[in-house]
Amino acid sequence: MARKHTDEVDISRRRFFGKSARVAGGVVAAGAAASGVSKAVSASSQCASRMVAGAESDDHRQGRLMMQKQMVIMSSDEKQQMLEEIIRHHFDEVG
Amino acid sequence: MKRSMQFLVAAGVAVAGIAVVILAQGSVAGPAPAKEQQQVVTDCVESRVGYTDITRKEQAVPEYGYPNVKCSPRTHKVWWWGDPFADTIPMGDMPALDPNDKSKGDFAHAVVRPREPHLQYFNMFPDKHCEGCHDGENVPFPKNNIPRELGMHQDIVENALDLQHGRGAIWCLDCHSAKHRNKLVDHRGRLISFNQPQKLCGKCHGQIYADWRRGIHGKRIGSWKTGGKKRWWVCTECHNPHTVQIHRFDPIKPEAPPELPRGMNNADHELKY
Amino acid sequence: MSQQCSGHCHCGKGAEEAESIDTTRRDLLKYMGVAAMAGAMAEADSPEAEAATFKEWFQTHYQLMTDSEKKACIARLEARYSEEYGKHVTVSDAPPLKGVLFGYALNIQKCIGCRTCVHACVQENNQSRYDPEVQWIKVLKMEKGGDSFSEDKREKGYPEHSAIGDHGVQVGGNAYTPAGVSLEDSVRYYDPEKVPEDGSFYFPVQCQQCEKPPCVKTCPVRATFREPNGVVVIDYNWCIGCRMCQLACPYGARRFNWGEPNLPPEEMNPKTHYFGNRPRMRGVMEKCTFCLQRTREGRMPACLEACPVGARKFGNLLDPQSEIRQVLATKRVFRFKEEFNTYPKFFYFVD
Repeated sequence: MARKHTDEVDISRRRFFGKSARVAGGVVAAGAAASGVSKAVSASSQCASRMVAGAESDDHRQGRLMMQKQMVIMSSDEKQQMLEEIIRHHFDEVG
Repeated sequence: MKRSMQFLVAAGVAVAGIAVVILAQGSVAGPAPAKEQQQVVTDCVESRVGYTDITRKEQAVPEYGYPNVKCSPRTHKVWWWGDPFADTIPMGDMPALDPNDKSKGDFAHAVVRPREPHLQYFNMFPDKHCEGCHDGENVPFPKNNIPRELGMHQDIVENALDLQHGRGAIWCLDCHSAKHRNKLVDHRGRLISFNQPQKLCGKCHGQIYADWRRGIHGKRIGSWKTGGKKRWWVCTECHNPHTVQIHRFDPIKPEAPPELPRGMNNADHELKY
Repeated sequence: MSQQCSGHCHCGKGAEEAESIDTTRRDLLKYMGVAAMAGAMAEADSPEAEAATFKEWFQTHYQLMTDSEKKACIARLEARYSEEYGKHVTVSDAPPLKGVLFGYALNIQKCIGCRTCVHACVQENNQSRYDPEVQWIKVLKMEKGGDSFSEDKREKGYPEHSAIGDHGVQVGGNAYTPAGVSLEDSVRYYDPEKVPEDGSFYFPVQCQQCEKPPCVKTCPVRATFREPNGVVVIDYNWCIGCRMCQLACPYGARRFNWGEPNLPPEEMNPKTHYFGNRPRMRGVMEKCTFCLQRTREGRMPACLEACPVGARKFGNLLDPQSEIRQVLATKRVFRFKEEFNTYPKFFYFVD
């Protein structure tokens, strides 16, 4: 199922892990955010990149995400992209 | 579409017998609901307990027979506004953040619930409020800002001896005007109304003030439209400035948890083993 | 009114059985078939009422109705509700506003888990109050600090004993603290003396009004659909109660009326909308509609107005000045289950 929708899924997802490796604070648990994000960042950067390497395949990632939820703070690019997609889709539907 | 529906319905007759039996059993076996008689709560809390109170009035919106507010019988918290602008006045002028800000924020139709009428002490001076006594004669003005122990009014300032704001750097008269007790005062000595404490708080808490002005910090009810009529919650309607260091928002009693699934006596299954 | 034909439904399965059923229109339609229904009709009280009921059974999808049909339908509903609840009930069918796309944002850093929004929603939207209790918002409590990479926990993380035995499951993070926030560990029935509790944060979940809603895709009769405002609504009269949408929804946002809703007349909100908060019947789905009876008139949703800490923000995603766009522009935002690519228009944010 994950394969089937890959095309559609790509835009927001493909870049996600690469980005989170680069932007150390990319993957931030919501709880950590509430208790102070900066604290989490330094300790997590190394581990996060290791995790990323281990979760290359899309299917694997899909499964992992389905099993337990991560809340991922969106970067401003992602936010912009998401907003554009929502608005584009909205005008498709309306028009 | 309708045709196919009818067909489905007709097909449904085939299983009608089984369905009827199951349904009949269901309705008989189900426990008779104990109808809760909800008493009408008239003294309500908006956000901050002991500060933002509102009284329920029936028929505030005659068109729908709404009261001005509906409140929780469990916590007395307002959970529904029939009239979002009950007891409000215009917020008054809100200067632009900076000269380039032409929009001046979304304050065109901003209203607030005024605080000043509540500056009462045993209803002694309904018009003059605090200045009834603190006029410089009956009670002399303090000579300076040096902290000293409060001799009186520990009943109205419940944390007077233990001010938890500014980590010891500020004291009562840094915010309250010494000579005009019905007003607040900023660091430049300008008087500020109790209805607009944001003008004072924003002097130190600039980032939060900026967020508040943009509408992304704090509470507003009324219209969702930009430029629509909104009632704004001002700083002190949520935060207690005297104890804000302990709690940004004082803990409150939660509403009742949802009904447990049928046949379940407790929620232990949720707890971690 | 819905009770009016119990007692004289002779429909093939024996009078006792039929009598014990709460014979609403819907049940009749589903389980007894057209012929049986016609039999019941013949014995109903007033001819007008019975004609109205008949018409309501056989009304088409609201979007396919002509204007006069819509008018008649609204009038029928208003008359029935007004009679049933003993007050003047209005059923609006105000169309979606032009140039508006609704979005919602919730600050989980501010949320204190007091559940006021849950009850505000119930007050506004005429849900069944008890047996069954229907609430469109659920507030999950979770432990703070779902950060599995912290210094002190890095060396740990091997499966250990627990009350349910040894389990060697390790899914990211470690066995003490899974990576990220696991909803598996969320608690819904918490009831402490005071909220917020130390070390907890709260996560209210309601319909996320997906831009690409899976529930709409799955509905076999198109009873649920996306409105031009971006809000997913349900034509309750067209819903067949198959609950496919409930299965499709990754957020668990849809509720099913398993029993006849119990809505005390004095608590009933008489200002309703056809797709919004008009009283539902047994056997239909319902869910959050961003209070469309309010928001179409420019007013904030009830849950937002109730939130005592101002954690909820609502507005027009097409208006760059709106609160919701300001949140998206300046705050750290995340979405719930974004990997499903449903493009929810309900955002969570932290300062």
